Amino acid sequence: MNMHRCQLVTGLLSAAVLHGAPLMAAEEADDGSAVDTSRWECRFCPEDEGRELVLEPRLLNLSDDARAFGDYRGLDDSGLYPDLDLYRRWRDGEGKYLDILGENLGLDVRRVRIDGGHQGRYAMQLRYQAIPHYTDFGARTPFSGGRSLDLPSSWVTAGSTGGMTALEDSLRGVDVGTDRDRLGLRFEMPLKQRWDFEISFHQDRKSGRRGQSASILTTITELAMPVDEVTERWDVAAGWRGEAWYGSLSYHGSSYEDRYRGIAWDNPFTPVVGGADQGRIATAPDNSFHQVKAAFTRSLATWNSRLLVSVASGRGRQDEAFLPLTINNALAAPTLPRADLDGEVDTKSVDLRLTARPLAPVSLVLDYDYDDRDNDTPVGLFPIVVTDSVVGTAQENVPYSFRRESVHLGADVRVHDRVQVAFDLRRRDHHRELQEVLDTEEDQYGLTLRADLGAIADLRLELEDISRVGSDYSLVPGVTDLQNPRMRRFNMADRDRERQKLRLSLTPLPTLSLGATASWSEDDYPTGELGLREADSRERTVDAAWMPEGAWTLDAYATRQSMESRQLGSRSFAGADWSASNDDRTTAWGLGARFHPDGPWSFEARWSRVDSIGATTVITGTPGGVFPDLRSEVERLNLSLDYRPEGVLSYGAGLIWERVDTVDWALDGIQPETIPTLLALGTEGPDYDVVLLHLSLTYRFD
Amino acid sequence: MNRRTLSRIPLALCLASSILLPASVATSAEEEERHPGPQPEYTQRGADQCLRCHDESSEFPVMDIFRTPHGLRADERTPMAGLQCEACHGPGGEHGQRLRADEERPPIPMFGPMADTEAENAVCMDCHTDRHRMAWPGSVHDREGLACGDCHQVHARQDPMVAGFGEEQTCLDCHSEVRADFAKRSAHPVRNGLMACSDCHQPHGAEDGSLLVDGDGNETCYGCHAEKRGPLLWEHAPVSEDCSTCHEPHGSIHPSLLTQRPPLLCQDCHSGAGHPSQPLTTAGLPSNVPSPFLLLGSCSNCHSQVHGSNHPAGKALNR
Repeated sequence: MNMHRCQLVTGLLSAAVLHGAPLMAAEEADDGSAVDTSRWECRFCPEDEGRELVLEPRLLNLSDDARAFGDYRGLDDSGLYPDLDLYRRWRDGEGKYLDILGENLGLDVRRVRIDGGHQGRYAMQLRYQAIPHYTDFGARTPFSGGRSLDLPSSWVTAGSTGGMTALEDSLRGVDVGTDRDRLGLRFEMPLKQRWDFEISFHQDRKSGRRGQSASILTTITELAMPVDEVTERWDVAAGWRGEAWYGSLSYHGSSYEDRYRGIAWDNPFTPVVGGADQGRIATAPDNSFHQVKAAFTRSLATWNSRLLVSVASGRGRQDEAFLPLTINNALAAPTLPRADLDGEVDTKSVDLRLTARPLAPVSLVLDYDYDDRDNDTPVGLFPIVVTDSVVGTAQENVPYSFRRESVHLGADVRVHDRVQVAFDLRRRDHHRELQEVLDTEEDQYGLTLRADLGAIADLRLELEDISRVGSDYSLVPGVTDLQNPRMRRFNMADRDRERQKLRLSLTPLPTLSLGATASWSEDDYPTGELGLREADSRERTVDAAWMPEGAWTLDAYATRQSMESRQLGSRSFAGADWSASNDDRTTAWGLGARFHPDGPWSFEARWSRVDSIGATTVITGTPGGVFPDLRSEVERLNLSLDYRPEGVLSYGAGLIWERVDTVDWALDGIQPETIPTLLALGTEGPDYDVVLLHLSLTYRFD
Repeated sequence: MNRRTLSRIPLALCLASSILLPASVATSAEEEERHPGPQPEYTQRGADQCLRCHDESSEFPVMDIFRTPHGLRADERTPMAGLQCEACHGPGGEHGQRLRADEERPPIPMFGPMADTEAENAVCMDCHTDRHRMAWPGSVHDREGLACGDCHQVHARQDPMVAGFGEEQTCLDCHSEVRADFAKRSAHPVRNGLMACSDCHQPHGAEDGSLLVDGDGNETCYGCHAEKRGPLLWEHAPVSEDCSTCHEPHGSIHPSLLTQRPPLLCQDCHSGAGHPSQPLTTAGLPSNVPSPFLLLGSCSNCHSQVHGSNHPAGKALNR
């Protein structure tokens, strides 16, 4: 090649580098043929480069104190709250990028997300989120402390709460709830054209207080127990893509750590047994879980098939040192068989799926799933001390294991251009150890009809029949032999289930869509005499969306749900001599409107209301079986107005009105001293009516 | 695994292998079956030809795609680095040609009015098959005929399903029955925007029918609630098996997402002589003789370690 041609080639290559596509004269079409792209200059394609910053400072004002309103919001005290959202975006036009998103930075629900990298080479992400969760509103307690919950020195014990003369003066408010801080890091990169690699780390830190009761013999204390726990999760995965297949190998690890190994508390009641002036309850033990998973999928030539194989093996461990058998030094507690559980659970799962299209209108799917939880925790004979008071009979621990297998065949048949029918057959086998029913077999038959009724309507009908039959129901010696043999636990008892669902979608006008859904589910437990006998649920929903003019969008929905159940019991350890029913009903409505004409103004309004009623009836042959209804009403109105003129500034204002009323017979009116043998926190159900106003200013920097 | 189980796996594999023939990609014959007839031509100028009409003022604005990963030409994997608009939309020669006054414009082959869900999804999956989406074929949403474009907005500056906001509304368009559940007094904070449907569900397909991210139901729950994982010295059998035995994860009118209120929930399974099997009536309400068996946590007032206990004396789940 002479110098002139070298220069020409160099020049052409330089032009190719500078201008990209024009000299990449051919691309490959789906059918493998070459496409002439020599004139595809993409002159009208904008480059994405530059930086952008959006700041949105806000001022919020909450009208009233309402801790329940602050649940998952972090806004519980009346007054002003400054807040800030920010968004920062940077692109170099060649693939490097950085996005920074900060939301609610002034509140306890702040969230930050940072994404950066070089597209096609690597990507990194950092996430942080704070989640406040408030429970047990209006709680009061005489206790203070952390690992040990102590009563004041002036405390007077008594046989019942009525005799606790120092109670009223000792009570102080306590915020029961937790703050969860979530941190996530992720790094991924495609290694060359066909490899991908990802590694991620996630940490949850939870702290605060949790309401939990603890007993000493027949007396109970409701405690605001301290919480300080950390969960970490890490995942590493690599994948490889071939012409017609993809395979991946991944590792998942998780660990849980609780900074408290147990919580002790002073017994506020007069001890019945000597030395039982304190109790101690265990917290969740530290544990870990590791799993390796391999998955592979491949397209097959015949019948447009695809095969998926996934195999996973895991191990969970827990070997935290046991707490002492009792905190009561007056008891001569026997020694434990070992110092820790040495707990180990092995899990295995295998999933196979084959999809195929043997004929144009027929698609098939065949699934096989296998899950095994093998609890290898050693069994030991553990001495028992009943609630730090009485030495009881030693008991063996029971490490539960189970195995589940299912085979599923599904067929989707397009019987007509507008009608499709789906058939499903499934068999599930469940094998349990050390439980009343060792094996259950469940057969499921499903039929789904989807019909396109012209341009304006779609119909969908689902029918499902599921029948579960188990092996002999027999009590397990040493484990469940104190149960009434007539009881059938519903999670493993024979069960007949039928489900139906009907959905009609209408589009009578291009701007109007309507929908209606109705579903029914009925569970019957035909064998045995005691326990859950029937459980039915029904739901009806109607929804509509209308866009009368380009600027308006209106939507509405209404839903009615009901869940009923019936159960039988025996107080005499014989046949059924009492029954109970639950009837939970929920009605939800919502309306929404959005007005966004051409111009700087936009307006949005959304209203919703959810009413729930829970009715409980216990029939014993004596009066008093009809409980007051459990009620809750949640109503919310959300209004927002935005003004975005040309320029860098835009303005917003908004209002959230929320009203919650609850009636709960299990909670209402129960003060710390109401129940003679239970010192309560005196919590209240959520009840509030508040308005949250907000003003915002958005500034865009380019 | 026991023998019975072992015998089933080879059976499943035999079924698979009986269908297997020497593997290759879908043949051009099958492509021909989907799109019979002569293949339309590509445009002469690519995106420049499309963008003459589909600019910012068009009825179907598309320019925001250039602010998304799909629009980065410097990344050779992207559509814009290859066949540009026609990489996804198919050959646009006929759609983009000059027309006579009375001539109707032919539709774009893909992602236009002539929707072919399977073919369009294949376009997306050609690039986006990875470990998060490899279970899509045969999954619930695939069998429903859901198209990628039914949930994702490729031409939007920010796809709500990827950015994380607005995801709930897209899911609720079909799963409307869950909307009321999220508004109940005890619910996961999806309504507050602190959780998304995809925190628990993998809409692109999973090994189980509920499309849970970690397959087995409990492992998904342990992602946030690892304190329940154990193993524990004293286990509560249904807890280790399936959290949804007692909990309704979307929302419930009962506290702690319970499906039913204690004591009746517990008495669905427990029938031991003595207090476990006694019926509790309004006689235990505060207006009568307030009973710790009935009020507040009911059974869990004493048996507060309902998920299991690691205390050596915790057999009765009260330590």
